[in-house]
Amino acid sequence: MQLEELFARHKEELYRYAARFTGDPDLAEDVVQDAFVRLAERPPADDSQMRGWLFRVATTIALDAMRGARRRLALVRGRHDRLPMGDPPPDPAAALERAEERRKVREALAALGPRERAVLLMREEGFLHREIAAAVGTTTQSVGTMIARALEKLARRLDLDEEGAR
Amino acid sequence: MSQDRTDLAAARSRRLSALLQATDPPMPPLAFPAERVALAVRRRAAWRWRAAAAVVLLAVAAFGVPPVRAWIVQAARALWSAARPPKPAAVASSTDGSGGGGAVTFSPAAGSFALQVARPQPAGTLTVETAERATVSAAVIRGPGARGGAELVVLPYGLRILNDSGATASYLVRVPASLGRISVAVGGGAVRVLVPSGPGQQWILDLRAAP
Repeated sequence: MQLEELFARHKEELYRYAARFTGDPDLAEDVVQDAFVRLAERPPADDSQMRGWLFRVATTIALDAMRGARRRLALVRGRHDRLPMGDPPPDPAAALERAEERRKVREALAALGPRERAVLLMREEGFLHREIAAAVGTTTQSVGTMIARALEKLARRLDLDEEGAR
Repeated sequence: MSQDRTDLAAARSRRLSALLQATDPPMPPLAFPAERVALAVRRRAAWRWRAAAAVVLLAVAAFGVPPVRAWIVQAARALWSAARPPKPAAVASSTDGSGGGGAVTFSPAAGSFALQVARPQPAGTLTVETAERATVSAAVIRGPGARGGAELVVLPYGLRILNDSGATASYLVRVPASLGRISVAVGGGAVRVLVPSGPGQQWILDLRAAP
Protein backbone atom coordinates (compact mmCIF):
# COMPACT_ATOMS: atom_id res chain seq x y z
CA MET A 1 0.00 0.00 0.00
CA GLN A 2 1.24 3.48 -0.87
CA LEU A 3 2.20 5.89 1.88
CA GLU A 4 -0.50 8.36 0.88
CA GLU A 5 -3.17 5.69 1.15
CA LEU A 6 -1.87 4.70 4.57
CA PHE A 7 -1.92 8.33 5.61
CA ALA A 8 -5.51 8.74 4.48
CA ARG A 9 -6.52 5.58 6.31
CA HIS A 10 -4.83 6.24 9.64
CA LYS A 11 -4.43 10.01 9.99
CA GLU A 12 -7.67 10.62 11.85
CA GLU A 13 -7.26 8.02 14.58
CA LEU A 14 -3.57 8.82 14.87
CA TYR A 15 -4.30 12.52 15.25
CA ARG A 16 -6.99 11.87 17.85
CA TYR A 17 -4.61 9.64 19.80
CA ALA A 18 -1.74 12.13 19.56
CA ALA A 19 -3.95 15.04 20.58
CA ARG A 20 -5.17 13.16 23.64
CA PHE A 21 -1.70 11.90 24.46
CA THR A 22 0.02 15.29 24.22
CA GLY A 23 -2.90 17.55 25.09
CA ASP A 24 -1.66 19.80 22.30
CA PRO A 25 -3.50 19.78 18.94
CA ASP A 26 -0.68 21.56 17.13
CA LEU A 27 1.89 19.11 18.40
CA ALA A 28 -0.46 16.26 17.45
CA GLU A 29 -0.40 17.44 13.82
CA ASP A 30 3.40 17.38 13.84
CA VAL A 31 3.41 13.94 15.45
CA VAL A 32 1.16 12.46 12.75
CA GLN A 33 3.25 13.90 9.93
CA ASP A 34 6.52 12.91 11.57
CA ALA A 35 5.25 9.36 12.02
CA PHE A 36 4.72 9.05 8.27
CA VAL A 37 8.10 10.57 7.51
CA ARG A 38 9.58 7.97 9.86
CA LEU A 39 7.61 5.32 7.98
CA ALA A 40 9.22 6.46 4.72
CA GLU A 41 12.65 6.44 6.31
CA ARG A 42 12.53 3.15 8.19
CA PRO A 43 9.45 1.10 7.38
CA PRO A 44 8.65 -1.83 9.68
CA ALA A 45 9.77 -5.27 8.62
CA ASP A 46 6.28 -6.67 9.12
CA ASP A 47 3.57 -4.80 7.21
CA SER A 48 0.81 -6.67 9.00
CA GLN A 49 1.56 -4.76 12.23
CA MET A 50 1.47 -1.38 10.50
CA ARG A 51 -1.23 0.21 12.65
CA GLY A 52 0.46 -0.74 15.92
CA TRP A 53 3.80 0.38 14.53
CA LEU A 54 2.38 3.81 13.64
CA PHE A 55 0.92 4.30 17.11
CA ARG A 56 4.15 3.18 18.75
CA VAL A 57 6.21 5.56 16.62
CA ALA A 58 3.73 8.37 17.24
CA THR A 59 4.07 7.79 20.99
CA THR A 60 7.85 7.96 20.78
CA ILE A 61 7.78 11.12 18.69
CA ALA A 62 5.26 12.72 21.03
CA LEU A 63 7.33 11.90 24.09
CA ASP A 64 10.47 13.30 22.48
CA ALA A 65 8.67 16.48 21.53
CA MET A 66 7.04 16.85 24.93
CA ARG A 67 10.42 16.75 26.62
CA GLY A 68 10.93 20.29 25.35
CA ALA A 69 10.17 22.83 28.06
CA ARG A 70 8.06 24.95 25.73
CA ARG A 71 5.79 22.08 24.89
CA ARG A 72 5.50 21.06 28.52
CA LEU A 73 4.42 24.57 29.36
CA ALA A 74 1.87 24.53 26.60
CA LEU A 75 0.50 21.23 27.88
CA VAL A 76 -0.01 22.61 31.38
CA ARG A 77 -1.36 25.96 30.34
CA GLY A 78 -3.60 24.51 27.68
CA ARG A 79 -3.20 27.28 25.18
CA HIS A 80 -4.62 25.24 22.37
CA ASP A 81 -8.31 25.23 22.93
CA ARG A 82 -10.24 24.34 19.87
CA LEU A 83 -13.92 23.66 19.83
CA PRO A 84 -15.00 20.20 18.79
CA MET A 85 -16.04 20.08 15.17
CA GLY A 86 -19.77 20.13 14.57
CA ASP A 87 -20.63 21.77 17.87
CA PRO A 88 -23.19 24.56 17.62
CA PRO A 89 -21.88 28.03 18.45
CA PRO A 90 -21.92 27.99 22.24
CA ASP A 91 -23.18 30.63 24.48
CA PRO A 92 -20.43 32.17 26.65
CA ALA A 93 -21.37 30.17 29.75
CA ALA A 94 -21.41 26.86 27.87
CA ALA A 95 -18.12 27.72 26.19
CA LEU A 96 -16.55 28.42 29.54
CA GLU A 97 -17.86 25.18 30.96
CA ARG A 98 -16.56 23.20 27.96
CA ALA A 99 -13.15 24.85 28.19
CA GLU A 100 -12.97 23.97 31.86
CA GLU A 101 -13.88 20.36 31.08
CA ARG A 102 -11.16 20.14 28.43
CA ARG A 103 -8.61 21.53 30.86
CA LYS A 104 -9.57 18.97 33.50
CA VAL A 105 -9.31 16.05 31.06
CA ARG A 106 -5.97 17.29 29.75
CA GLU A 107 -4.53 17.67 33.24
CA ALA A 108 -5.85 14.29 34.35
CA LEU A 109 -4.27 12.55 31.36
CA ALA A 110 -1.03 14.49 31.83
CA ALA A 111 -0.88 13.24 35.42
CA LEU A 112 -0.64 9.66 34.21
CA GLY A 113 2.73 8.18 33.38
CA PRO A 114 3.47 8.14 29.63
CA ARG A 115 3.17 4.38 29.46
CA GLU A 116 -0.14 4.28 31.32
CA ARG A 117 -1.43 7.06 29.13
CA ALA A 118 -0.36 5.28 25.94
CA VAL A 119 -1.93 2.01 27.09
CA LEU A 120 -5.21 3.63 28.05
CA LEU A 121 -5.49 5.72 24.91
CA MET A 122 -4.55 2.86 22.61
CA ARG A 123 -7.29 0.82 24.23
CA GLU A 124 -9.64 3.71 23.45
CA GLU A 125 -8.64 3.30 19.80
CA GLY A 126 -9.71 -0.32 19.88
CA PHE A 127 -6.38 -2.09 20.13
CA LEU A 128 -6.31 -5.55 21.69
CA HIS A 129 -4.30 -6.03 24.87
CA ARG A 130 -1.67 -8.08 23.06
CA GLU A 131 -1.28 -5.39 20.40
CA ILE A 132 -0.87 -2.75 23.08
CA ALA A 133 1.63 -4.94 24.90
CA ALA A 134 3.70 -5.28 21.73
CA ALA A 135 3.54 -1.54 21.08
CA VAL A 136 4.61 -0.39 24.54
CA GLY A 137 6.91 -3.32 25.26
CA THR A 138 5.19 -5.10 28.11
CA THR A 139 3.24 -8.29 28.75
CA THR A 140 -0.42 -8.77 27.89
CA GLN A 141 -1.22 -9.31 31.58
CA SER A 142 0.45 -6.03 32.54
CA VAL A 143 -1.70 -4.13 30.07
CA GLY A 144 -4.86 -5.06 31.97
CA THR A 145 -3.29 -4.00 35.26
CA MET A 146 -2.06 -0.72 33.79
CA ILE A 147 -5.49 0.10 32.36
CA ALA A 148 -7.21 -0.60 35.69
CA ARG A 149 -4.66 1.55 37.54
CA ALA A 150 -4.98 4.40 35.05
CA LEU A 151 -8.79 4.29 35.26
CA GLU A 152 -8.59 4.37 39.04
CA LYS A 153 -6.49 7.55 38.91
CA LEU A 154 -8.71 9.19 36.31
CA ALA A 155 -11.83 8.23 38.23
CA ARG A 156 -10.65 10.31 41.17
CA ARG A 157 -9.68 13.32 39.08
CA LEU A 158 -12.62 13.28 36.69
CA ASP A 159 -15.35 11.95 38.98
CA LEU A 160 -15.93 8.97 36.73
CA ASP A 161 -17.66 7.06 39.51
CA GLU A 162 -20.38 9.64 40.05
CA GLU A 163 -23.80 8.76 38.76
CA GLY A 164 -24.62 10.89 35.81
CA ALA A 165 -20.98 11.70 35.15
CA ARG A 166 -20.21 11.94 31.45
CA MET B 1 -16.37 -9.14 44.13
CA SER B 2 -14.33 -9.67 41.00
CA GLN B 3 -17.45 -9.13 38.90
CA ASP B 4 -18.06 -5.87 40.76
CA ARG B 5 -14.56 -4.66 39.89
CA THR B 6 -15.04 -5.61 36.25
CA ASP B 7 -18.35 -3.78 36.14
CA LEU B 8 -16.82 -0.73 37.80
CA ALA B 9 -13.93 -0.68 35.30
CA ALA B 10 -16.36 -1.03 32.40
CA ALA B 11 -18.49 1.85 33.70
CA ARG B 12 -15.41 4.03 34.16
CA SER B 13 -14.26 3.16 30.65
CA ARG B 14 -17.60 4.16 29.17
CA ARG B 15 -17.63 7.47 31.01
CA LEU B 16 -14.03 8.20 30.09
CA SER B 17 -14.71 7.44 26.41
CA ALA B 18 -17.65 9.84 26.42
CA LEU B 19 -15.60 12.52 28.14
CA LEU B 20 -12.70 12.14 25.72
CA GLN B 21 -14.98 12.32 22.68
CA ALA B 22 -16.68 15.40 24.05
CA THR B 23 -13.42 17.20 24.58
CA ASP B 24 -11.48 16.07 21.48
CA PRO B 25 -10.20 18.92 19.34
CA PRO B 26 -11.60 19.05 15.82
CA MET B 27 -9.74 17.19 13.14
CA PRO B 28 -7.60 19.71 11.25
CA PRO B 29 -7.14 19.44 7.48
CA LEU B 30 -4.00 17.33 7.81
CA ALA B 31 -1.97 17.25 4.61
CA PHE B 32 0.25 14.37 3.61
CA PRO B 33 3.84 15.57 4.12
CA ALA B 34 4.75 14.73 0.52
CA GLU B 35 7.95 16.77 0.32
CA ARG B 36 9.37 15.49 3.56
CA VAL B 37 8.45 11.91 2.66
CA ALA B 38 10.11 12.27 -0.77
CA LEU B 39 13.20 13.63 0.95
CA ALA B 40 13.20 10.75 3.40
CA VAL B 41 12.89 8.22 0.58
CA ARG B 42 15.80 9.86 -1.25
CA ARG B 43 17.87 9.89 1.96
CA ARG B 44 17.13 6.21 2.47
CA ALA B 45 18.23 5.35 -1.07
CA ALA B 46 21.36 7.46 -0.68
CA TRP B 47 22.15 5.74 2.61
CA ARG B 48 21.93 2.35 0.93
CA TRP B 49 24.34 3.45 -1.78
CA ARG B 50 26.70 4.90 0.79
CA ALA B 51 26.63 1.67 2.80
CA ALA B 52 27.34 -0.40 -0.32
CA ALA B 53 30.16 1.95 -1.31
CA ALA B 54 31.65 1.73 2.18
CA VAL B 55 31.63 -2.08 2.01
CA VAL B 56 33.33 -2.04 -1.39
CA LEU B 57 35.88 0.51 -0.20
CA LEU B 58 36.66 -1.56 2.89
CA ALA B 59 37.07 -4.71 0.82
CA VAL B 60 39.35 -2.95 -1.66
CA ALA B 61 41.39 -1.40 1.13
CA ALA B 62 41.67 -4.71 2.94
CA PHE B 63 42.78 -6.41 -0.28
CA GLY B 64 45.77 -4.08 -0.38
CA VAL B 65 47.08 -5.42 2.92
CA PRO B 66 49.19 -8.53 2.12
CA PRO B 67 48.10 -10.74 5.05
CA VAL B 68 44.45 -9.89 4.46
CA ARG B 69 44.83 -10.44 0.73
CA ALA B 70 46.51 -13.80 1.37
CA TRP B 71 43.73 -14.74 3.74
CA ILE B 72 41.04 -13.74 1.24
CA VAL B 73 42.73 -15.68 -1.57
CA GLN B 74 43.16 -18.73 0.65
CA ALA B 75 39.59 -18.57 1.88
CA ALA B 76 38.31 -18.18 -1.68
CA ARG B 77 40.40 -21.13 -2.81
CA ALA B 78 39.19 -23.28 0.06
CA LEU B 79 35.59 -22.30 -0.66
CA TRP B 80 36.03 -23.05 -4.34
CA SER B 81 37.59 -26.40 -3.62
CA ALA B 82 34.84 -27.29 -1.17
CA ALA B 83 32.10 -26.20 -3.54
CA ARG B 84 33.58 -27.98 -6.54
CA PRO B 85 32.97 -31.73 -6.63
CA PRO B 86 36.14 -33.77 -6.96
CA LYS B 87 36.68 -34.44 -10.61
CA PRO B 88 38.71 -37.12 -12.24
CA ALA B 89 42.04 -35.74 -13.38
CA ALA B 90 42.55 -35.32 -17.06
CA VAL B 91 44.19 -38.46 -18.23
CA ALA B 92 47.11 -37.94 -20.56
CA SER B 93 48.26 -40.63 -22.94
CA SER B 94 51.76 -40.57 -21.51
CA THR B 95 53.80 -38.38 -19.20
CA ASP B 96 57.42 -38.00 -18.31
CA GLY B 97 58.24 -41.12 -20.28
CA SER B 98 56.51 -43.13 -17.57
CA GLY B 99 55.48 -45.75 -20.02
CA GLY B 100 51.76 -44.94 -20.35
CA GLY B 101 48.81 -44.41 -17.98
CA GLY B 102 47.22 -41.33 -16.41
CA ALA B 103 48.98 -38.22 -15.14
CA VAL B 104 47.99 -35.07 -13.33
CA THR B 105 49.66 -31.93 -12.05
CA PHE B 106 48.13 -29.52 -9.53
CA SER B 107 48.94 -27.10 -6.70
CA PRO B 108 48.42 -28.64 -3.28
CA ALA B 109 46.90 -26.78 -0.35
CA ALA B 110 49.49 -25.63 2.15
CA GLY B 111 50.25 -27.86 5.12
CA SER B 112 49.44 -31.54 5.07
CA PHE B 113 48.68 -33.64 2.04
CA ALA B 114 46.73 -36.88 1.84
CA LEU B 115 47.39 -39.71 -0.58
CA GLN B 116 44.66 -42.31 -0.75
CA VAL B 117 44.85 -45.54 -2.73
CA ALA B 118 41.36 -46.96 -2.99
CA ARG B 119 42.37 -50.59 -2.47
CA PRO B 120 45.38 -52.93 -2.32
CA GLN B 121 46.54 -54.52 -5.57
CA PRO B 122 47.99 -57.92 -6.50
CA ALA B 123 51.18 -56.10 -7.55
CA GLY B 124 52.61 -52.60 -7.93
CA THR B 125 54.08 -49.86 -5.81
CA LEU B 126 53.42 -46.26 -4.86
CA THR B 127 56.53 -44.09 -5.04
CA VAL B 128 56.50 -40.71 -3.33
CA GLU B 129 59.31 -38.32 -4.12
CA THR B 130 60.02 -34.84 -2.81
CA ALA B 131 61.30 -32.14 -5.14
CA GLU B 132 62.07 -28.43 -5.19
CA ARG B 133 58.77 -27.45 -6.74
CA ALA B 134 55.39 -25.96 -5.93
CA THR B 135 53.15 -28.49 -7.64
CA VAL B 136 52.23 -32.12 -7.17
CA SER B 137 52.48 -34.39 -10.17
CA ALA B 138 51.23 -37.94 -10.24
CA ALA B 139 51.38 -40.59 -12.92
CA VAL B 140 50.17 -44.12 -13.45
CA ILE B 141 53.03 -46.29 -14.59
CA ARG B 142 52.05 -49.35 -16.52
CA GLY B 143 54.73 -51.90 -17.14
CA PRO B 144 54.52 -54.54 -19.86
CA GLY B 145 51.59 -56.84 -19.19
CA ALA B 146 50.06 -54.52 -16.57
CA ARG B 147 46.40 -55.24 -15.92
CA GLY B 148 43.43 -53.32 -14.60
CA GLY B 149 42.63 -49.60 -14.65
CA ALA B 150 43.31 -46.68 -12.36
CA GLU B 151 42.17 -43.11 -12.25
CA LEU B 152 43.73 -40.13 -10.47
CA VAL B 153 41.30 -37.88 -8.62
CA VAL B 154 42.44 -34.52 -7.25
CA LEU B 155 40.93 -33.76 -3.85
CA PRO B 156 40.84 -30.42 -2.03
CA TYR B 157 43.35 -31.82 0.43
CA GLY B 158 45.28 -34.37 -1.65
CA LEU B 159 45.06 -37.09 -4.28
CA ARG B 160 43.04 -40.26 -4.56
CA ILE B 161 44.07 -43.19 -6.76
CA LEU B 162 40.92 -45.01 -7.81
CA ASN B 163 42.33 -48.39 -8.78
CA ASP B 164 40.68 -51.67 -9.73
CA SER B 165 41.22 -54.50 -7.32
CA GLY B 166 43.01 -56.42 -10.07
CA ALA B 167 45.27 -53.54 -11.13
CA THR B 168 48.99 -54.18 -11.29
CA ALA B 169 50.18 -50.66 -12.24
CA SER B 170 52.55 -48.61 -10.13
CA TYR B 171 52.19 -44.93 -9.27
CA LEU B 172 54.72 -42.14 -9.01
CA VAL B 173 53.80 -39.03 -7.02
CA ARG B 174 56.20 -36.08 -6.86
CA VAL B 175 55.43 -33.58 -4.14
CA PRO B 176 56.90 -30.23 -3.03
CA ALA B 177 59.51 -30.71 -0.33
CA SER B 178 57.86 -27.83 1.50
CA LEU B 179 54.83 -29.91 2.44
CA GLY B 180 54.55 -30.36 6.18
CA ARG B 181 53.41 -33.99 6.17
CA ILE B 182 52.00 -36.55 3.81
CA SER B 183 49.57 -39.18 5.02
CA VAL B 184 49.28 -42.30 2.90
CA ALA B 185 46.43 -44.80 3.23
CA VAL B 186 45.86 -47.90 1.15
CA GLY B 187 42.28 -49.18 1.31
CA GLY B 188 41.11 -49.24 4.90
CA GLY B 189 44.60 -50.02 6.17
CA ALA B 190 46.75 -48.10 8.59
CA VAL B 191 47.71 -44.56 7.70
CA ARG B 192 51.40 -44.01 7.17
CA VAL B 193 52.75 -40.52 7.73
CA LEU B 194 55.69 -39.25 5.70
CA VAL B 195 57.44 -36.09 6.85
CA PRO B 196 59.52 -34.46 4.11
CA SER B 197 62.74 -32.84 5.29
CA GLY B 198 64.04 -31.67 1.93
CA PRO B 199 64.08 -32.36 -1.80
CA GLY B 200 65.28 -35.67 -3.19
CA GLN B 201 63.66 -37.96 -0.64
CA GLN B 202 61.91 -41.07 -1.84
CA TRP B 203 59.51 -43.57 -0.26
CA ILE B 204 58.44 -46.73 -2.07
CA LEU B 205 55.33 -48.37 -0.68
CA ASP B 206 54.17 -51.83 -1.60
CA LEU B 207 50.55 -51.85 -2.65
CA ARG B 208 50.04 -55.57 -2.17
CA ALA B 209 47.67 -56.53 0.55
CA ALA B 210 49.38 -57.79 3.68
CA PRO B 211 49.26 -61.59 3.80
